[in-house]
Amino acid sequence: MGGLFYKDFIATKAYYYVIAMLGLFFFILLGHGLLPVDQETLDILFMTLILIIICTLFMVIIGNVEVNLMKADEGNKRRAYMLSLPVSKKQYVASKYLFLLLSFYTVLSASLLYIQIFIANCKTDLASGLIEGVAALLPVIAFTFLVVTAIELPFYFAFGTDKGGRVKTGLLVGVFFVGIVYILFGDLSIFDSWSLEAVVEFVKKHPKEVMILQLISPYLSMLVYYISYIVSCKLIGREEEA
Amino acid sequence: MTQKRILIYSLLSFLPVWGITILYMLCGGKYESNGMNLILTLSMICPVIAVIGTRLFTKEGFGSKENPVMLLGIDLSKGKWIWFLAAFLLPIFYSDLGIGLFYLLFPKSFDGSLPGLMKELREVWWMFPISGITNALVFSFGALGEEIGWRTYLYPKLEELFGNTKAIIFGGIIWGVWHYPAIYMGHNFGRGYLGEPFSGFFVFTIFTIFVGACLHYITKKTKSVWAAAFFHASNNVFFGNTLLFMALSKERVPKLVQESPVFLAIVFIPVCILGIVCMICLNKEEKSLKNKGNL
Repeated sequence: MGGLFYKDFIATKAYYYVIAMLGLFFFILLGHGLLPVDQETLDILFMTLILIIICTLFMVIIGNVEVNLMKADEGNKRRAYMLSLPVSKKQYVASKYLFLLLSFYTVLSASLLYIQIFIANCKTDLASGLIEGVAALLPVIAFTFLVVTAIELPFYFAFGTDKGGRVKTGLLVGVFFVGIVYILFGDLSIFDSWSLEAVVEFVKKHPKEVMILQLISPYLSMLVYYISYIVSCKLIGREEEA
Repeated sequence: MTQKRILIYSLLSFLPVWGITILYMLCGGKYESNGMNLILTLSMICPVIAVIGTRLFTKEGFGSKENPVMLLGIDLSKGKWIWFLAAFLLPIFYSDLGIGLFYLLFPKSFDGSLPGLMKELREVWWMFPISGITNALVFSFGALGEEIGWRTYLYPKLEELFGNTKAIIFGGIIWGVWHYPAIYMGHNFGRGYLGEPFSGFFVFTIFTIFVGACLHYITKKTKSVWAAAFFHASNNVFFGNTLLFMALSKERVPKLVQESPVFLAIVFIPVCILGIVCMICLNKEEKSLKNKGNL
């Protein structure tokens, strides 16, 4: 499976992302101390920058690495390619899932490191407080992205990246359409109490529930990811039978 | 060549860590600062960089499928999963046992009124083991960086030269010395204790020797550096949590214990016993392999 990992690492051009992440590491490490701007502006600037970087890194996995990972073998006619491999179909599917899991782990680790570098250089309480909040929520954010990946992957395995992408877009349009129908004809009074303040209030009032959510989110998302893996294995098996 | 490689690896892993920490100290940096936190995190990545550097510099290569040297794979088959589970759980048991032992030796130090943080968090106490395991899993990249260096490179090289027991002792000493600048700054033992910093150096080196034995054993059993990384991360999380939340009345602890690393030395006893058990098991396995003529 190590060979498959290496192949995927090259096929998805993941080395570019690693170089980019290392470049960002040195930029955040050195840039914060060297730019000739006053400290408060610098802190706000870098805080915004780090938030954008973290979001981009996670989006890159979902939008780019994942699609490239699946596309790479399609060009080789996946079925024939899988038969030529010295590993089973299950192991082939597992290698894709593990590759993406490792990508998330790497981005999560890099993000935590960036945040730590920022906090070490930051002298504005507001900025460091905000970023500490983001750091606390980062695992939850990462695991949410993992769930999205878990939902997407079976589509890619079943229909390929092009058709899978279309099915995914179709589903999103469907959900959007249902939403529009609800807004037009449904009871909107339930949204009256919805606001950011209400969310903050809920978090303050129910620290125990929030803590439980933070604790179980990794396990729940891993469970969803595992179920997604089983579904993908079955889909690949059915493709073989057909 | 093995000795040369050990030397290069040691230089590459020690120089950046010692250099940056000493520089930070000379610039007036304090242990209780975000800068020191960052240095501690980055230090944990230095051993893996040292491994890559040494392997490239000495043209040693990075192994093959038949001979994996970085041990980055995870194989849960043939009952190996139990070692991964142990990696997460053992630190909970030995850190709690250590605290229990301390209370046994100094029963008056137990403060049943649950002071400080413990009082506020009484309702959610049951979450700590799960929270610790989650944190150990999510934040294991630092521990992974260290473990790739020490457990997949230094220890096997030392074992090649001296055999299991001496490898664990020498490896533990090198690993302990690597931490000295941080301990000097106040890591683990704080500042102003009796015999500072040498008593801290001594206690911590003993700790690294025995924890090193556990980590080496678990790496050998699972043939994966991840198990050691999870063990290391879990150890860091649970020792920290246990010490932070223990129901201790410092006023009732004898002055000598309070002002010296004796407190941590006592808490470390269960893990030292576990380390000895691991050393015995490793030696037995080494002997049986020798008898079979595999060595």
